[in-house]
Amino acid sequence: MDPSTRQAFTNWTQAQPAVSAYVFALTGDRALRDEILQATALSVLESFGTYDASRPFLPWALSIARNEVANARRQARRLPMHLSTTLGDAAEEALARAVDAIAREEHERLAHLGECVKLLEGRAREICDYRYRAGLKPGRIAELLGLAPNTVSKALERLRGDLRDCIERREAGGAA
Amino acid sequence: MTDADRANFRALAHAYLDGTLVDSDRVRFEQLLASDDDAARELARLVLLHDALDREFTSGVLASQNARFDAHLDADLDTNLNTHVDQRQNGRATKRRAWLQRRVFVAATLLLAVGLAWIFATTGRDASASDVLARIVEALRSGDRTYVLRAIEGDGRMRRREAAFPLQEKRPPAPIDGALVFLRNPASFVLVRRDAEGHEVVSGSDGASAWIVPAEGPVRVSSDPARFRGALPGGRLDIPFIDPHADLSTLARNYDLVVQKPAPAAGRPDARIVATRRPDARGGPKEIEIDFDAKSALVRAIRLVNLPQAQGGPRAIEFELIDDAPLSDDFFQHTSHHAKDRAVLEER
Repeated sequence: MDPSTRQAFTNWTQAQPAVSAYVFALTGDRALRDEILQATALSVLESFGTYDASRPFLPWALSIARNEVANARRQARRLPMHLSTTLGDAAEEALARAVDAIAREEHERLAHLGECVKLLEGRAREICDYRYRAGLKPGRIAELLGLAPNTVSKALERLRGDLRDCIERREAGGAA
Repeated sequence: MTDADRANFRALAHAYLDGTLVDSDRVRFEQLLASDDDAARELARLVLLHDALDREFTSGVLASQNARFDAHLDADLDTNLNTHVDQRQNGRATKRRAWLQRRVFVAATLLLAVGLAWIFATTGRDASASDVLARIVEALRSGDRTYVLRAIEGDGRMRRREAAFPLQEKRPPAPIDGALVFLRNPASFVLVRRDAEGHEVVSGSDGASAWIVPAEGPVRVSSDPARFRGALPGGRLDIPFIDPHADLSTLARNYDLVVQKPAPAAGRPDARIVATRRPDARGGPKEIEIDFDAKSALVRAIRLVNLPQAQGGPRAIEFELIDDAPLSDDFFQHTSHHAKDRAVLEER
């Protein structure tokens, strides 16, 4: 492996979680995220020669990912719009800047996520399973559990907040 | 941003990620996101958590912890779907097999469901399975459905962009990955695909006539509803489209059928019919899977596995339901899919 390819792999490995999260936010679809992530990785490797090493890598990778998302949208332009999460250009750019700004710090924090998820119990864990293991949206989860969709949405918001609190506690050394 | 603003934005951010953000809030959400760095960072933190959670549950340690989840969902279901159907073998007519070889594609799986209902209803086998299948048929016959086609590589179910084709092919088959199929019973469809050059081609039928809108040249319209069925995805197999009135029992006779419960922990929240081609049956995919909502009987996905490869094309194809919203009344007429000044050629 030549030094350039090795460097590209190294940079991509570090950037990949943030790029994945960004693409997931723009598409809202697990399978599409993975496809676009794969295409982005290939584009990064193929165009690594044009990357200015004096500049940060993550913003460059995020811009490539954004192009890949745009390509995917063009290819699927006849898909009903509600099937994909869409943001305006300014919002997409703002999100990319914010992801770049906090990615490194958050990545270290999220190392505690697995431990915190294990602490979820009862209905919170159940809803989390449906949302993230089965990939169901709140409306469907509500059907299965006999709840109002808004109840499930609020529960998801609350459990994510709880997870963040747990992560921060562990980050601060005060394990719950 | 005040604490109240922050809480408000946070609620919108969660709704955005869960796909529940209403249009009236979307503009405000995007404006805040684009104009307020704190808001953008709030969303970024949530986005990173959201993605990490998704990966934790699908590929992390938690992915293997599924027993409790399965048990709960079982309790949700009020019907036992585990039924193995061992249909008696009937005599096979050569002509019918030849017909089947040509006609196993999208509609085949839908026809299978209808056929199964017929078999169950007439043989008195397991009542719960019969009920389930009857509901599937009912769901198939009502409302509009939009499916996206995915070409799948082999048994690994790995999605790919285009299907491979044998070297002896003079030219590759048109890619079908990403094609859209819009269905309305009885026998109305619109297929949006790309030809081998990447140009969009739309074909369809309103049940009374058929039409095709090529990338260039005149729109062609035929009074024969079956006229342009060869352009359907899998057209190289010469498969007709959905036809609930076709002979259903032939298909059912050639497959062993199993109805499975949902397995959400394995990433399959829907119930499934698995049809395995009998050893003595010829033609068609070796296996057909139909995923359906156990409660509403809505067919969410159809997979045709191990398709005949003699004429090239993908090894397997998946139809994934992406929308069941009503389409406009004129959607299945060609005039909805081309400019008004486009030349139209009426075929006799």
